[in-house]
Amino acid sequence: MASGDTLCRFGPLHNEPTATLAALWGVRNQHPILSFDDTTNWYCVFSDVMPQNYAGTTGVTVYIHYAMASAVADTVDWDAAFERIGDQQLDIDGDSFAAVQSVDNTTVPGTAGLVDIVSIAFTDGAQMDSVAKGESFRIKINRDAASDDATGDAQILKVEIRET
Amino acid sequence: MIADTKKCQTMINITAQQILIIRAAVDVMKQIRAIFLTINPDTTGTPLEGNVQLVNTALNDLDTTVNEGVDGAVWDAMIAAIVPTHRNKALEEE
Repeated sequence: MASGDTLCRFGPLHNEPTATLAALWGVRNQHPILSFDDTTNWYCVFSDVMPQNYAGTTGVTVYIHYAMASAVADTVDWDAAFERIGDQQLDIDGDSFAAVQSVDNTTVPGTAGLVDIVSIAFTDGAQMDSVAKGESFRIKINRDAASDDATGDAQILKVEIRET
Repeated sequence: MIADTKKCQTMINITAQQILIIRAAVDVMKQIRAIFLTINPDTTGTPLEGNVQLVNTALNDLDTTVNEGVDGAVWDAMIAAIVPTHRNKALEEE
């Protein structure tokens, strides 16, 4: 697959809520959203099978489409982490996410309802928890509320994974 | 480390929300005072005996503090700055 091609797409309705600190499902003008608190880190999780046309060389880039509930100033931080499920790779009775990769200090849009897109690159291998084509995986995304400084919720509308 | 912007927002949200409650309470007291003064009942033997003017003045002072002048403008600005999705926890996680 060529660099920049879409591998997976997720929306709020694909979220598999974490047992605790799950992002809140809701709607904004009937657009489904996942809301993330500004003080405590909340999480969303999506799962899929890595497409067969993933080349497995240059890694992937995760694009997060978000809007702020009300903030029109300051910054927002996002973290993401992969978990390989694979073929007899992971006992799903426990979690095994790789280290988070981040996009930090993004100045939020000047209008609260404007959707901004930020990206986090993962190199092939450990950063992706070595997810290979044809293997199922999960990706966990959180707002790093403990580190950013925009007030009020941040809301995810879409997530896209592209080949880097 | 929670950002100072969020700590300030917790202070703003809680203070402004409480001022709204106080303003509503002052409105209730002013309404009941107007009725009371119109009826002008005998206060003998009640805590109001000899204190009607004092209570009246205190209520006026409270009204001025939360609704008018410099203080009122500050409260108005803080009320306008309430962020509904901020959950007022930023001062609890230090």
